Amino acid sequence: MHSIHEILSVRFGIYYATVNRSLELTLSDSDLLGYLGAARPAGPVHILDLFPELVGLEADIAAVLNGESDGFCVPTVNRVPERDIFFDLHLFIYRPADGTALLVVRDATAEGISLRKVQQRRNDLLLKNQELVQREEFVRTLLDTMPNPVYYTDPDSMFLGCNTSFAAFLGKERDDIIGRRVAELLTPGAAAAFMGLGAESAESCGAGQCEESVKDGRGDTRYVIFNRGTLPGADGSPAGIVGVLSDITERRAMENRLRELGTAVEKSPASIIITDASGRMVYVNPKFLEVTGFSPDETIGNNPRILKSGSHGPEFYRGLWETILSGNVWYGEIQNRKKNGDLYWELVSISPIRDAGGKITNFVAVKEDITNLKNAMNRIEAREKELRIRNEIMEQNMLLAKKTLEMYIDFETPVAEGFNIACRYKPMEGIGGDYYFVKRRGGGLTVFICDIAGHGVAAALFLTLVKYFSDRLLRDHTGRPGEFLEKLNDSLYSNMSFYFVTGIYGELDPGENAVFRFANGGHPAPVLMRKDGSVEFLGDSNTIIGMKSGMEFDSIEERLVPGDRLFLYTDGIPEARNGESRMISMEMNLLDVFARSRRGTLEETMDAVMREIESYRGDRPPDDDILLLGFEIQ
Amino acid sequence: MTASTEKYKIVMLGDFAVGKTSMVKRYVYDLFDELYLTTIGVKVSKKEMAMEAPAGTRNVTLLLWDIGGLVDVRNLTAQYLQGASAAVVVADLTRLGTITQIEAHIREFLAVNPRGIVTIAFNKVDRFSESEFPGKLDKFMETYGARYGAASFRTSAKTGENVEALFTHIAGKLGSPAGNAQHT
Repeated sequence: MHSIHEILSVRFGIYYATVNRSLELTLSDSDLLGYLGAARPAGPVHILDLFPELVGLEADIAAVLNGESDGFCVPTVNRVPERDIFFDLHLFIYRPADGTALLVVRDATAEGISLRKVQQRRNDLLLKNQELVQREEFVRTLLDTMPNPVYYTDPDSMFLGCNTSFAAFLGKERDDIIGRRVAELLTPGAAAAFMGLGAESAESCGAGQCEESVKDGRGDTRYVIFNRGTLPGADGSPAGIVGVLSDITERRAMENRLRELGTAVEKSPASIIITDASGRMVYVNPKFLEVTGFSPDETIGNNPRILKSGSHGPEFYRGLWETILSGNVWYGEIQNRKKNGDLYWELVSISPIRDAGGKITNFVAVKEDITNLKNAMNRIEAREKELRIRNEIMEQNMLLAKKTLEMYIDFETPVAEGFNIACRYKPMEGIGGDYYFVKRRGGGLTVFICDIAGHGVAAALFLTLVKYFSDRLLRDHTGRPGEFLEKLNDSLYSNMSFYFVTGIYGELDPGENAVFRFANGGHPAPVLMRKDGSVEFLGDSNTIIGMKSGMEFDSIEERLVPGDRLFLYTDGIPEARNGESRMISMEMNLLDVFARSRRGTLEETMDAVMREIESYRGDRPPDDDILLLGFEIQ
Repeated sequence: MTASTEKYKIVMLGDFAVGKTSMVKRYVYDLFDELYLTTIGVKVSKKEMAMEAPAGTRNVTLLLWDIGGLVDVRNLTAQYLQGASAAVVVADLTRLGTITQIEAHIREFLAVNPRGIVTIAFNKVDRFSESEFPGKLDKFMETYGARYGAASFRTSAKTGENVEALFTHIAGKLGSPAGNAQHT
């Protein structure tokens, strides 16, 4: 027969014991230990040893034992003696006077296992949900960090979602896009591109790729590649599309620029080579092939040293590489060799090309064939050298001619009674072309002044010829002054017809009835400065001597009185130029120059004239010899 | 002379499925089961250990209260926490939400046991890619450690990494004068 305790424990799963003040258990129910899977101890059983779940609740236990509390419960204790058991642990007030409490263990295994199943299912769902949330957040973060606009729609072209790039592309908020149809937000053409309408079958739900131009949120036209994929539904059938846009506007613009640049390089009149960092040629343009005669197969992958002529030493190439490897541009001329062995010169610039990280990846060489220019320069240099030598010879000849002329020609003026004679002569550097003589002739003077056209050795030689003929003519001359110039003209023309001279031949008689008879052969007219200060030109210039044979020259006679001054001069005076290349005779009347220069004596007057000339010329060096002859009748 | 045994109640706190039961199982039985089984109610495990201390060998018994992880920690009854000397707050490094709940668990525990010792286990470190989130774990450990003076451990119940070290640390702390010990 079963006891009441056994019936309770079997029917209701209730086990109990009493607890005394020493916290020892009185185990009236032998099945409690069996239920807990514990062995019966030899001595008293301490409640905390059998129920460690009560550790920490000692004060609560004491309160029950003392009758201060009706009891408490530790619910759903789980143990695994052989299999999982769950129980609620109760401590009730029992006999407070004795300090005894009743401990009841109620088996709740069935409830606990059921609760665990429910909780397990709930927790599994929560875990799965959390995983989904995390995955969705990951996908959203991934999409939002993508620079490409991304969108997805249902089969009816309604936006289900998009990333921030897409919202920015359309210039709208994400919330203003989701739930709207494509056609509501885009033009019909753009909508077709977004959904792939007309391009793919209905089964593919618009999946595919195309390139279209669409307007962005700012109304700007963008070139876009649409990559559209099928968005699968729960049953695997297409439930919409997901589209990724690649904005290739900048790339297309860059491609156009590169195409233009490529065309420019291909059509360039200069040879262009691109090498890799090691110097291997990766590109050559057609001009390079034309100039060198190499084929693309012979150049691509090879080093430009196939062009090496041997004209430059290792130091030359070392300097070139040091320059470009240090990131600088090398400029210079290189003599290279064509495939057929011909040498040619090139003006070369070699520039390094760096990648985004600053590393040199390529070199580009632009080369211009300067062989013809180089040859021309060589010819010019040779010619210049030749001219320099010839010039040196000429200068030596000039020096010799000048010395000879100085020895041969006597510029001294005689002292003659009845005349005061003075001369001012400023020759240019080198050999002058002015010549004169003043000689006694009876009681008077014979005067000749001339100016040879040109300078240099030939002019000097011509001057000696003029001197020779004028000296010889003077010895036999008795006729009028014009006759002197006519004979001189014929002599010079018959001997040196390509040279000519201007000159005045005159005879000056002294005294109260002084006379100046003269003939002018294209020379500046004499200036007569009267005793009273008036100044005038005498006669006309007439024709140049030596231009043609049979020339006639008029003889002019002018009466003078003591105190009158007569001036003969070469064109160095009327043609003196200032810093602005303007001639004095164009700026002022030469007679005024003489009138302003009149001083007490002949010499002072002539010095004043010379100062006027020099003052007008300023810093400009003289363009011609200056010769001024002065006569004063005494 | 036989040294007395120090007995401490330690509660395992944290959201569901963070690995509380697995940590206890690893520490007490050196076992690990990949299968997740929800804990219901309270399950007390006992770990006896001998610790060398300056005054001699300490016999320490840790009573590990594995409490079913509930979503809302405020549902925990104070009864479960009552009399606990220490708490191990466990978080799952693969679920950010369990880390943000650390603070709530600590407050709950300290409300009942103001002098209790708190230790944090950032569990499932074997599934956490440090390189993927550089500095993130250090930041967590620094934040909660500084705020509650709690020691933090990177743990893995699966590999056993730092599990014993964590409980040894607690036992060491409980032996100090400030420790909340019960001697039997």
